[in-house]
Amino acid sequence: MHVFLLITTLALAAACLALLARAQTTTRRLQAALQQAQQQLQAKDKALAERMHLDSLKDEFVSTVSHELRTPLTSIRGALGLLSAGVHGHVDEKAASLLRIANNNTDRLVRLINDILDLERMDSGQASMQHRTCVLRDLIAQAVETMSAMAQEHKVLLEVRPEPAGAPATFEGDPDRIQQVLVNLLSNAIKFSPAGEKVVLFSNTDGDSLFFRVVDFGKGIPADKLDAVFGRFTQVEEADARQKGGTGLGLAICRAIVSQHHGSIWAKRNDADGAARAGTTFYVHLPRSQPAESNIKATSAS
Amino acid sequence: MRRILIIDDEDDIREVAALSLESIAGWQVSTASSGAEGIQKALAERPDAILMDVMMPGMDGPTTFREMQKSPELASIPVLLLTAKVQSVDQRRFSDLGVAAVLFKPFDPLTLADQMSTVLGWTA
Repeated sequence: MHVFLLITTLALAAACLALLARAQTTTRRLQAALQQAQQQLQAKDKALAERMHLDSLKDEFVSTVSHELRTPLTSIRGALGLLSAGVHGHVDEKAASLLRIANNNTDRLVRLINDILDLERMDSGQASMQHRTCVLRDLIAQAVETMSAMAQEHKVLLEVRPEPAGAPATFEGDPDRIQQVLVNLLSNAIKFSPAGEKVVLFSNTDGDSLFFRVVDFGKGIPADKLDAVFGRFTQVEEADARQKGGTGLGLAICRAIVSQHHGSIWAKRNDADGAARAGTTFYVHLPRSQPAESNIKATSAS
Repeated sequence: MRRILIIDDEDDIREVAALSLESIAGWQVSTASSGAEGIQKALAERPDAILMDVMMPGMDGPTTFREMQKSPELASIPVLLLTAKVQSVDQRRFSDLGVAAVLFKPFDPLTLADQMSTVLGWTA
């Protein structure tokens, strides 16, 4: 009996030792895994901190560049404006022509700086975007008002056609940015329309979506460039930037804004569907509500 | 004659802005190149309005404005803030300070005179 008990005890002890050994092995394995996970976490934290630091440096750089470029331009534009206004003596025709060239190119430089900084901020997620309820009709009215002087100057008729008539549609988004999209599209359409033509802005809504169409009857964009025009510094013709005064960034900015609103933007030739008239139609589709964890975020700009 | 104080650390901008307000609007202009000097001049001259830059070394525009708000002599002088920060969020932030208006760089002289007229509450 004693021998049996002894053997049983020894067997149990051996089993316990084996279990203990296995538990120790498992503990060591778990400890190693934990250590590895901690190291990975630390590496990720470090990478995140570095990324945040870089973002902050980039933001500071963009802010500084903006300030450093705008400050001398303020003196240049101010001096040109004073001379052009004739406050320091009569400006003859030749001098006025030279001042006009200097003024136009100063404006072009200002637009270019604004567009580059805008795009840079949007790309880095630092562009401050509001998230508000927007009234479609108000945005369209403001955009058309902004562009009416340019349309008159180019002798182009601006037509607005809400579909269905007068729908008081609202949507969630950044009103300033969506208006910027409308203004950019209308500005392009006017610039590339021959005098006497019209530019039409259609708008439409259904349950969840909002649509814009800006139609021009200019010479149209070649089919192989319809997507490329949304790239940076892309012009249909090389001389367009100089002749039309664009920066080549307007449509890239439109695409960035629409994309941040989880929408889409594209262009089509008017004659693509067999229509007789040349020209281009730019389409914008936006969801009327933004997801809860939207990318449209209000960050404090530098 | 209305008197305007310009506070900006940039010599050229002070000169262009002063010429704009003097030549176009016919106002009397004095200038200061820092926030601290601006406060001293504002206390001594009691201008009708102030044009002030945002980014200045030492005391920046918003800090100078807040200091002025603490002074009973200066708190009621309208301030037109001049900035190179063009984002709408910046505009709101500066407007929230309580300044009369915000003007973005680069501005043209006619716009400056026009904005200052609005700030002063009458048409040039």
